[in-house]
Amino acid sequence: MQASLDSINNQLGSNDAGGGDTIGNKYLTFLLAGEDYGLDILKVREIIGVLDITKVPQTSDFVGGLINLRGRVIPVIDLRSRFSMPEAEYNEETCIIVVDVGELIGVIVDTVHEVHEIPKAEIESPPVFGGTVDTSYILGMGMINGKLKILLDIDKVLNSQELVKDYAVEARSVVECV
Amino acid sequence: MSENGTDSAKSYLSELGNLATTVDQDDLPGLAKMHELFSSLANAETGGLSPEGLKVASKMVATLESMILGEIADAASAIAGVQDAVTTLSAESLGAESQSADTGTAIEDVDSEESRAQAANDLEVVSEQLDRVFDEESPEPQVTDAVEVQEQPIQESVEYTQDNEVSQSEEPESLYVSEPLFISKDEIDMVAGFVEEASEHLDAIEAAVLEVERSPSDPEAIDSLFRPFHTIKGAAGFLNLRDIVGLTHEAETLLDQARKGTRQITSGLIDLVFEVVDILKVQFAGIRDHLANPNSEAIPQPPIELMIANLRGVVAGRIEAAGSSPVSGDPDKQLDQNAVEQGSAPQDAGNNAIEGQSRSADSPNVTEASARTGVANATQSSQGPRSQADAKGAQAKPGAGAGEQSVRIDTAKLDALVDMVGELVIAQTQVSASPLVANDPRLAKDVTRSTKIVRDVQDAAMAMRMIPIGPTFQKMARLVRDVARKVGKNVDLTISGEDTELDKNVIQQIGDPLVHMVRNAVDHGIEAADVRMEAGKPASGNVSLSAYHSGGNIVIEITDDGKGLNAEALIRKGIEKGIISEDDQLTEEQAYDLVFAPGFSTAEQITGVSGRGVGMDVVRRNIENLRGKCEINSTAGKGSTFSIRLPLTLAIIDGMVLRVGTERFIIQTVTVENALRPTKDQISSVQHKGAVLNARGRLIPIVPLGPLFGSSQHVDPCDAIVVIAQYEGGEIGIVVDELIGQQQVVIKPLGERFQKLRGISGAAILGDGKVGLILDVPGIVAAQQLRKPASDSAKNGQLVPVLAD
Repeated sequence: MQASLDSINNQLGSNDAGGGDTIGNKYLTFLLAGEDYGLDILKVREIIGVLDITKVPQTSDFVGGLINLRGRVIPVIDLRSRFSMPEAEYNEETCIIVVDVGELIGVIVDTVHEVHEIPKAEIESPPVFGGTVDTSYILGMGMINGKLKILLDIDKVLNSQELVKDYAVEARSVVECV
Repeated sequence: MSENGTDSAKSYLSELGNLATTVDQDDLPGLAKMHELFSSLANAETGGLSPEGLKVASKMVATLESMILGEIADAASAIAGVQDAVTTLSAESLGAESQSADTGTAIEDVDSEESRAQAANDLEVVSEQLDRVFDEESPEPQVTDAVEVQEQPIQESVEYTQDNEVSQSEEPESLYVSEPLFISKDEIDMVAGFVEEASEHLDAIEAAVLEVERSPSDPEAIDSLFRPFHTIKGAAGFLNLRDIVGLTHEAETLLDQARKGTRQITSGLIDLVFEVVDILKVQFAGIRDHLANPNSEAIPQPPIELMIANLRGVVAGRIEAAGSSPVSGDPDKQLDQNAVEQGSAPQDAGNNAIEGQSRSADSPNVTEASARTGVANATQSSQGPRSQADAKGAQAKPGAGAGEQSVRIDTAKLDALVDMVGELVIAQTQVSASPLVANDPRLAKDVTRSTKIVRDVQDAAMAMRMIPIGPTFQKMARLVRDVARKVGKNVDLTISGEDTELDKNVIQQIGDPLVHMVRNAVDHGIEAADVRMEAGKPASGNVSLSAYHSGGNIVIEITDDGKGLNAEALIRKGIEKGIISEDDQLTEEQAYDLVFAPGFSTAEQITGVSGRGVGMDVVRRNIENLRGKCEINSTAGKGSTFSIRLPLTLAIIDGMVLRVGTERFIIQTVTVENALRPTKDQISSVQHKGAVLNARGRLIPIVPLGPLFGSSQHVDPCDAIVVIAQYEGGEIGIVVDELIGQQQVVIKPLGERFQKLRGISGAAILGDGKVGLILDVPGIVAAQQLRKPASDSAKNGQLVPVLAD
């Protein structure tokens, strides 16, 4: 696990240096509740194992909390709960993908696979599910070795919903439940 | 003619010779260097030149200055003239070296005796020509071909000048014409640096002006006023900021007259200098705005033309500087003078030519605007620790930078360094706490040593952010002067502890509150002169500003020897304004605190200066944002002292680590009054909705932190700890599970996404590397109050009715 993380992190480094014409063609793939996802490698800063997360009150359920990334305090998002998937215990496969969406945010996923190159031509636009699935944060669907990867627009995923709940509303609803 | 003088003159000349062969009109550094060398030569004390030589040298100084200012149409021939002058002077200097012909033989074939005579002759010619040109073209010296007269008939040269400059010579008093100001892209960085540096020089000028006003006969004081102007002019010259050059040049001329003793230092002159400073401030602010938001439009300019015209008028003696009575150091005399000036409104004062021109008719808004920017700048402009030292130490060199002893660093870099060092300290603490270290004496020794070094690094990093408060205090000197004149009082400002250092951010943010409090002290604190006399006090009031360290904090005190605060009047007013009720029994201290209440104004009459009652509450909020406290001490009839207690730095706080459930929180130690484990009879529940703690007779509402932050766990306060914390307007008891201990932590902001969090102001990394949240007491109170409406209908809401203590 650690070895594969290191190799991916190394690729991240080389990607930064190289850049060039492959921009937007490389995707980091990961697993989430049995489904394969991918996100634009240029958004990815690094991948770390799960470390101590400090819960923050008044935040939405999908906000895991805050972590100490070598002296920087950054928020982490639980992607399962962001997509309303069943919760899972964190284990040693669980990873935090640190993405740069204007600021650094950690994204908790089940496990990270590898970096794939997917030519633009092989990416299809997201299918229409009707009202049941929100596809607005899906960039497209890519095929790798016959397996479908859902490519995420991570900016939309992380920026479309407020992290902090409105306290006034929240306080009332808490009390009403009691 | 001393031997030394001859030698140094020779070295100046040889350098000039080198420069003269390479320089052209666009080579501003070269021209500036030549200007400097000629200035040195023209200084009679340097020696090494005959009287004629000195004359030529000083003419060359003027010529070069005009060239640098871009006032010369035919720069190429002017340069040729300069080159000739250099040759001539060199020849003269060589001739002066009597018969030692074997030293430096620039002109080999000329017998030294002959060459000397020839040189003297040449000098006369050059000098004459220069005189002529300057007479014709004053006040804008146009040198053009005139210096080339050695080869040309005099007549021709004069005609040439006239041809070119007919309109100029016919209208010698024509206005300086300002040009639209554009800044090219490649110069943006340089201009930004210039503006920042020049703003510091303006601060130095303001401080120096007041010094001059205090001791007008001190030539050093005038000199320290002259130098910053000169430096600004030089630097502006490089950047082709023509208007700034023009303005500072005129101010310099005026001050030069004062320096040479041909002009008396009057309060009018000082006002004039302040006006120049204000115009420059407006101009700099304009440039700054432009740099922050570059567009292709010209930068708006204050009416520099008018000011230049005025200055020229004053310099030439055509206009009398307003308030022509000479400034004396004697406070009593000054008082009289102030009284006179107060009595006559500026509009009808006959001799206020300057004020009339620049203030009323043509530009009614300028001084208003500039006064405002002046105040704004008090906080905006970064004040390097050296601005004072600079003013004193800087050589009067065009374009001389901030000196090689210091480096300008982006504060963001400094912040990052302080941040990282903070983390290093924490990491180091973790290492030294490791059991491995405890079991290995050698390792323990090494760790101890590295711990010490890390601490030193932390101290050094922190020290970099610290700057002395002196310049901020000095800005208040001008404020006191302005306000005192406006309200017709005579007030001295005493400053002490200028060297006390504070975090740069604190200094930047303390400016506004200080301005407010100093203004209040002068306007409300100090009585009118006659009232003071009756009370047996000296007619002129005193406001003192001091800063000192006290137990890990910095204390800034504003003391006035005025009438003091009247507790009864304050209470009456408080009741009148509905801030307190008649039943409230306020102690004196609590009464004083009323001045910080929103909408409270103590002045019986609202003046233009202060007294609208907006302010002191803002002052307190600003100070609390800096995690400081404000206290008032006052004795009726004797005066008041406002003390501001501030932390040394904003980046690190002393925190108390608390545990609630599994999470740890940090509360600032300064806000904590005490912590206790209450007994059953100390807690009273109110309508089963909330509880109060009876702590030595005071009833303090208590908030269990867990439920407030969404945990459903019920906590009995008697099994827990109540931390009593203070906030503006009261106290609150925060119920937590455990007190873990004290720790210094580096504050990490949470960023915009978390701005809406209530009761939490930031995060910090705790000793074990985990993140802890920093509590915000006023935020907790606010969050608590938001729960109020809903909890009224709930069975066991945690709300506590807010009680006044």
